Amino acid sequence: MTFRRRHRYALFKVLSSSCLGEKDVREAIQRSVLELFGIYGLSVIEPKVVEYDEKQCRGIVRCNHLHLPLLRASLASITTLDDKPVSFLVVKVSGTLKALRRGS
Amino acid sequence: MRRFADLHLRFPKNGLNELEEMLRRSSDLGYFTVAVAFNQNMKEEIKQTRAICSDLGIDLVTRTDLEPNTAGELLKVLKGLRPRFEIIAVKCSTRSVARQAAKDRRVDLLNFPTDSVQRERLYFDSHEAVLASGSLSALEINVSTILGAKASHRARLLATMRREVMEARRLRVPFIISSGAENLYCVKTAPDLAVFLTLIDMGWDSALDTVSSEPLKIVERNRQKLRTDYLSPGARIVGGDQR
Repeated sequence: MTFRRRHRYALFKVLSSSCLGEKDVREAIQRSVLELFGIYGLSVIEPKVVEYDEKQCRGIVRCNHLHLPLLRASLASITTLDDKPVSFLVVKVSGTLKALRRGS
Repeated sequence: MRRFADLHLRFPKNGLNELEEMLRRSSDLGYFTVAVAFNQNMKEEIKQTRAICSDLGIDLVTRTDLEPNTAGELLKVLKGLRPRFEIIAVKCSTRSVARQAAKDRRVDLLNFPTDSVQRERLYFDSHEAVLASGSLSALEINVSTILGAKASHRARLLATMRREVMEARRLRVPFIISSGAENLYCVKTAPDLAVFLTLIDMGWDSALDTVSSEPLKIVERNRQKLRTDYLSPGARIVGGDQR
């Protein structure tokens, strides 16, 4: 029997006064997971920004399917970036990228 | 399908324009009911906010937050306030205020200090839970309180909240989670609010209840009380006028 990793994909929207780059978004997510759950949390949640559209300020982040609430809490905890207020909102969650893109 | 409610939007510093944006965002995020905290003398603002909510198609609940220093002051302020607001919340700054607020049927929501050190001294303990279970007042947790605390303070706050939630569940005291938003960026989706309760060991379905069925029950109960045909819990005048 083989062990296959399962993921959850979350479509998120970033609200901020200025546009954020993909690098900023990736770092902000990683920092927030680290702050809330530490290195162990980061290792089990395995957050990964799959794609990010700077124009629409929307992106998709992937995580381990067992730890979606932890990722959601991490995204909701991001309140500032470079001393500017920001907000990360999870719009939709799915088990596959195809299903996530279908409805959005 | 669940209907979501955020029972705590603070009136923003920048006034009605910002509040309108917050309400528009709440509507976009799928909220059915939103409560805005007003001061007791903001009659005109309440009227204008009602008009905005009516345009947006969301249900506005009027709320006021009281911050008395003594139990006597709380009793004084509560007189005559009940008919004017659908939700009355009390920020408990001392033990005596907390006890009085927990047992007073006119109080709907109990708030405890936002500072983690103060919260460890004054929190929703078993005595408050016993009193609240008899009076139907509910415990409110604001997400803005959690997000406002940094690093170790946030950890201490979550630990205290975990104890509070355990007490509330043990004695079946209702509790809700609200955004406590005072600007556009603090308005979050209902699942994003509920997810903070999973950090204090609550199941996902029970956490979602605290942003949907629980707050809506409180609003419904109070609206029934505000009707002119209301007599007491479970009794009303048949065929009486409705306000």
